[in-house]
Amino acid sequence: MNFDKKSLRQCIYCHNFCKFSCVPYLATKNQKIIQTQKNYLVYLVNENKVKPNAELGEAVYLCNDCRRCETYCIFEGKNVLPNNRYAKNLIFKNMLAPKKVYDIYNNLLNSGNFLGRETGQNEIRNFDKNKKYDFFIYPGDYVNMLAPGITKSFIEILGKLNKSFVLCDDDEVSDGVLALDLGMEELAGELMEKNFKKITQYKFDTLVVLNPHSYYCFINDYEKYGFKFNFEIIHYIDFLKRYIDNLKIKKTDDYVKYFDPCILSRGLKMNESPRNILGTLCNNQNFDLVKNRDESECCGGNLSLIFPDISRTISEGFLNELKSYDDKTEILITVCPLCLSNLSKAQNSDRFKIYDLIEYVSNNIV
Amino acid sequence: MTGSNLKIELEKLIGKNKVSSDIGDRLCFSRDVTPICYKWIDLYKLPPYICDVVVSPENTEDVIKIVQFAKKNKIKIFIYGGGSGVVGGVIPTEGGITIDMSRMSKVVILDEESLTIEVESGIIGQNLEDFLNKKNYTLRHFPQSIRSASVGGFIATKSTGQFSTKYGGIENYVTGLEVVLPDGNVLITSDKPRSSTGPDINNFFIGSEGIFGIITRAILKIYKMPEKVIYHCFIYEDIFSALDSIREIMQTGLKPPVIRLYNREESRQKFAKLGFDYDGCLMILCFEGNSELVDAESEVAQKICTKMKAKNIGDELGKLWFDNRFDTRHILEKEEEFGGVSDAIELAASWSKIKKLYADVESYFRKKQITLASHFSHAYTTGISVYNIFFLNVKDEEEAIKRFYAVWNDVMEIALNNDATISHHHGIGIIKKDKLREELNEGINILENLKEKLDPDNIINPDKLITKMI
Repeated sequence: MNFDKKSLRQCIYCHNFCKFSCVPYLATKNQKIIQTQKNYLVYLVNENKVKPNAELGEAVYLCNDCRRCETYCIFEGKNVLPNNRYAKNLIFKNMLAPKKVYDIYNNLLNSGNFLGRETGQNEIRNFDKNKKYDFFIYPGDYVNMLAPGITKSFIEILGKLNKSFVLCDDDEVSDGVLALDLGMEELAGELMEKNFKKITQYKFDTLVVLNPHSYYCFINDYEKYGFKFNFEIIHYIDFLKRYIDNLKIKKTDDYVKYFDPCILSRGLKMNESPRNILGTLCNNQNFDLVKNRDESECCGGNLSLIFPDISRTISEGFLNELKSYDDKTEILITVCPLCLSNLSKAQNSDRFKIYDLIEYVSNNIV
Repeated sequence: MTGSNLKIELEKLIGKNKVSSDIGDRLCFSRDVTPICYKWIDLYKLPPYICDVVVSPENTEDVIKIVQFAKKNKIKIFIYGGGSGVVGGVIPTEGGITIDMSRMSKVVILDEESLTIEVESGIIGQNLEDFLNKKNYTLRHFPQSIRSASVGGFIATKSTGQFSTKYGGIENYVTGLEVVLPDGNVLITSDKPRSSTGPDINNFFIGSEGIFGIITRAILKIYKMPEKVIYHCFIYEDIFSALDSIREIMQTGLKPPVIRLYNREESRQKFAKLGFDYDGCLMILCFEGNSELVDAESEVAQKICTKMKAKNIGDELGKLWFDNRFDTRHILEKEEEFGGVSDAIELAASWSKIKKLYADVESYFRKKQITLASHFSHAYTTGISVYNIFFLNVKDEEEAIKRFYAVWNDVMEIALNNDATISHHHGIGIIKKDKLREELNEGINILENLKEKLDPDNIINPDKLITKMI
């Protein structure tokens, strides 16, 4: 997490082309969240012109890395995430982050997950370290803590396909992505090492990651921290692409819209595969919300862990607006445990049914 | 009154969570995208002008209380919409209170029968456009700043948009306003299609740059989404025959929303990376609306351009221009360099004067050996606007500011000598106000008298637009 003076200056000099897209800014109107203003203050801190304070700390952590701003960035959008992580690391080290950030740090450090839940609560499966499995399933802590139904559905599908698997859920340690996103660089490295050691104990062909945030971390961050995997790593979307034709699907007449998760659309650029999979399930084929793909809206993201009220304002705002102009959609599908959790909690009526895609596929297998 | 006392008093008035004296907030709200604001970042420890306190009203009543308090205590007020201004309109030249309008961003009424929308003035242009698009409507006011500018800022600076040749500037949209006047009274102008009841009061505030009051709500015209949009691109051997084509298109009565003409340098500079490979001046033309009308207008326009020996190169570059119309990277990269500065000088003149104006400006920059890229846009039956982007690189930030002001001063002189306006749509702010008297003549006295009558203590947005200090 280095101070990239050039990219920070470019952002500061920009004419705010991303301002309208910053969802936490629109929810709070805290000017310091906008990339150009946040980076302006971080730049002044680095030049020793102002001292960092708790107000800046709050603003830095109000950014939920939804990365909508990347879509509209006239410079290198790819600098957004590293600069966010740099800013959070700066604030974290100076003990100026919101208290909940330090609670999460302690939970990750002591329990291996962000909720501080005791491990070993789930069913313990005795997987054989000498046997070769088809898949290693890595749910990721957002799935384990917020949306365990995703794992259940995936296992049901594996059962239909007669595939063998190792499941990493009973004592799973956070993959490190949340620690990285919250500026806890050192801890992220430690968590990655624990995961690396655990996963590489088993023999299997392919690692299937259920949480797209974890998947992003496995393919983008692990090697940078010195952990190189020598097996295939895929997200469950790639798994479904390979096996959807082997499943007996009952086609539905549901009116379905696809809520592009930020990490899939902007982080991983996986936009068409979820739509193609939905296309095999539904007779009505228009899955696009008005704002879709790299312009997609935000569910509140990981703000739900630090600023739950603001996260809820964002997710409720999205659902209420959708209701105001769309009287047809019955089902919202997403491919992210955070989106599923945030949008489900924000429902104040039964107007929409909300599922993760893997749950929707599982529900529609004959 | 000191910053901390000011904060305490304002908190008593409007509530704690609406007032901030945090240095981060004060710095963020004390700058816009004026080139000198950038140069100050590295030139000084902190910028020379920082507000003492930022207040974020949530409704008109809050604004009234702030204004009455400021008037009573003779504290200056500055107004911050989206912070996208390029002439320093938000810079708090005398400290005091900066009012952040962003929390007043609600859509109040969408009148689908009259095709108008009432909004609070803090709403960002693109957020309003997105709201309308979801309901199959559009504002069609697309300034380059739309992604950060507020509706209040559009109105206060008399902005225009990239589709203005058909839809007009913001003055053609406003049908009603709510304004908190400098004495705390609220003016609500009538929302009528037209009225012969004296001068249009709205026009006192459109382009007033906040000196006559704080715009809190606006009623704007909206449009149904166009049924058809088509682009045409032409290459001209010389810029003046292209200008003649535009004049004929406009005077024939055609209404292209977009008509843009780039000189050789800017055609190459801006479009080479999009596949432009011609030695000539690029003209982009767009028609949109009812399908049959679009086809008819398009046919007439193509005949006019072909008659002027233009080469029709299809629609691709027009579509690419639309997709890349916010890409100002080549300008901002120059500004970001130490000692670098660039800016856009947007002039306008009648058809009978525009060619000489263009030639004089071009000659000035050539003689000074300053890089210039120019294009024409925003056409009218009577004239057109010319946008001159210059790039300077000198030894340091201090020199850059000096040269920046010198270029502005010289080009405004050229404009005035050619009977052109010194600002087509960016406004005056603090950058151009010394030359405004020369353009407005007796008009400046009317503005100053009006300011003195409405705001005798010069409380609201002082030092902007007009020069006379009360």
